[in-house]
Amino acid sequence: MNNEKVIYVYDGSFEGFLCCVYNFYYNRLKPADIVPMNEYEPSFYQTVEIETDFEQAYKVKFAIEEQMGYENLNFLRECLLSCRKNKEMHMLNYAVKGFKMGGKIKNMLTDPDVNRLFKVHTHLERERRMYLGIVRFYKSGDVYISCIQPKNRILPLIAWHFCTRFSSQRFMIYDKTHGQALINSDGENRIVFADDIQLPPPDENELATQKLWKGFYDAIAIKERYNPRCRMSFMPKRVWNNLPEMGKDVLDRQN
Amino acid sequence: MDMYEKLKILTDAAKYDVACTSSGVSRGKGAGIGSTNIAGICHSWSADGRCISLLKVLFTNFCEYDCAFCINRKSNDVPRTAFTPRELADLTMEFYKRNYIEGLFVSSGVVKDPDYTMELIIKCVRILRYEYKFNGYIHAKVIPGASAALIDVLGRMADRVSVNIELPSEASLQKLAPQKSRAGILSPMKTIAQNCAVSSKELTVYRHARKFAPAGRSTQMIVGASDDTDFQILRLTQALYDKYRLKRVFFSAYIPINRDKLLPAKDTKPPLMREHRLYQADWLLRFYGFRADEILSEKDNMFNPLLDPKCNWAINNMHLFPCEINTAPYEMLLRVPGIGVKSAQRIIRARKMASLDFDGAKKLGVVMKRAQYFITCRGKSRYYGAIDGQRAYKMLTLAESTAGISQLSLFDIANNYSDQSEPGGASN
Ligand code: SF4
Repeated sequence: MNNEKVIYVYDGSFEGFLCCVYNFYYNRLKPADIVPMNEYEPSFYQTVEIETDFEQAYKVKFAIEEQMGYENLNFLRECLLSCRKNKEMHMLNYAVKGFKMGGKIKNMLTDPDVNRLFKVHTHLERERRMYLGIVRFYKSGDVYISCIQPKNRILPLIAWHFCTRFSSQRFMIYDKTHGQALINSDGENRIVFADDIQLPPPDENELATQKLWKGFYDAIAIKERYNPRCRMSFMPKRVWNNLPEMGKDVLDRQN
Repeated sequence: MDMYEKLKILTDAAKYDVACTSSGVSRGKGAGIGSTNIAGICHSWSADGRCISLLKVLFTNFCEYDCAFCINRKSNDVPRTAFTPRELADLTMEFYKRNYIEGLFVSSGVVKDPDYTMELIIKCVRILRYEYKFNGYIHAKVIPGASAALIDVLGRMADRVSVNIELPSEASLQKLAPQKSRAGILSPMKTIAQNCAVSSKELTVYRHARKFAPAGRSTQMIVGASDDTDFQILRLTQALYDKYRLKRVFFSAYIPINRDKLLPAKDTKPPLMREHRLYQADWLLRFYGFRADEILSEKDNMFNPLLDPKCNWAINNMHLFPCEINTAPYEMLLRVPGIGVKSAQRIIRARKMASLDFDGAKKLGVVMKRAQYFITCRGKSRYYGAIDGQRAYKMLTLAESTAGISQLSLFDIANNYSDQSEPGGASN
């Protein structure tokens, strides 16, 4: 099983990944890497295209749940949303070890395979938490619109929070990086794929509300404690684009 | 005055109040709009690096009182204004719907008298809860001297209520805030504690009774405006947790705003390091099982600026170390410098699977720079030669000063305000 001359190419879905696991066991062919179709670049490795077969996927899903418990299945599902390269290989190694060790795999934090995947997950989790706070809506007619650019595919992970909180509000969160949008309207919500959405313009008095928010933001900072480095560590520059309060900063201009 | 000006003034007047967390209560979908998150959510970070979670404003900055340390005191000549209850409720809703905030944190100067002021705040909160069906977070400050009935009404609509204790001792309170007495502050605190107890009984009887301040109560005090010692402050903090069952005590380094012969001179630097140490020690009280008199004492009553309180304690208790990572009980692990709550929990989880060496411990988040003087892994120490308190002290203070105290403290200070993140470099 140490033939590492092949690369698995799959469709990027969780089911697709499960089929990679299936193939690994079935063909006894250890891949050097597993890459989603849209990121695949030809190399001197031989490629094996993994077809997504729901029956195979179901079998693997069932086996994981039985051997390692639902928690680990869910953990793997979430890890696939990560933007990290090689996440699939880490996931495969985790699954293989998990089949041997059972549910306690999640406690084996010092094991290199486990540790690697935990880091992937921590990165994802951190971004998810940040986005619960920094999604910003603007009003357009009776819809609230937000545009975000996260590194990881966090939309499925934040959907529940926003659909619960704003259940009675019509809104859309558009993930520009990954071309996905979460839409909530009339008590129903779904995630749709949309590469290029033309976002509707904000209402006329939207700017006034944003100005109030910015006014509040500037006034709340304590000059004697000015600490841009600390702010940056919590709220990196790459996310400022989507924050009305970061338009122009009085303190930044002074210093 | 237009809304923009008003908001600026009333935010500016509220910014020194430190409590800005939205944690402690989890509420899902209700009939209206909004929810709360148990761990709290930060929506932005201001230029000073502090987490912005709530719309933190004063209802009004008109004030009948004349507390020496306060920017809104009666004798100060500052622009004054006030929201109407509806204005503030509307503003909260507009911000909330855009996901700018978790909710509202309202405090106020005293207009006319404490009860009158409380009624204004109650009106605003009532509009939010009953008219707009707002399910988000509300933290309201009780005005010292307000009647028990009003405190009860407010507490049943808000998630968290707090009374500022302001200064660490009766003597300094008398000197700097003569119209507020210690009794005037502690009695609403007592009312609140009683209401909480009653409310949890009610809840078991009537399932639909509204819980009194479900996210708990908090207070804050100013550090550095009076000459109280760190030990006094810490002991008071402990009593507030034990006796009044407070959820959080916040500290705020005094920033000289007013020229007053009773106060430190106007060019005094805010004692940020001291505030930082207090938060570190506060964390030791709440999560690490320490008692105030282990950390400081009557004789040794100020924090060591060169060393965090946990290292300081460990050095004075070298006879308890080194401790073996693979066998030490959880409570002991928590007391090791360089090991935090998270890494202690991870150690417990991981060592069930395999015995840990130094590399393993490091992977779990143990900070070796500090921990190495106090632990062994599989019976081996990483530190050569005898470990005695003096040597460890030298190495540790050296490590902290090369990290750059000013840098470290400035960087960590902002963490102190949020409920989730520990003051860095500290207790762990
Ligand atoms: S009562 Fe409050 S607002 Fe009024 S002067 Fe004292 S601290 Fe300031």
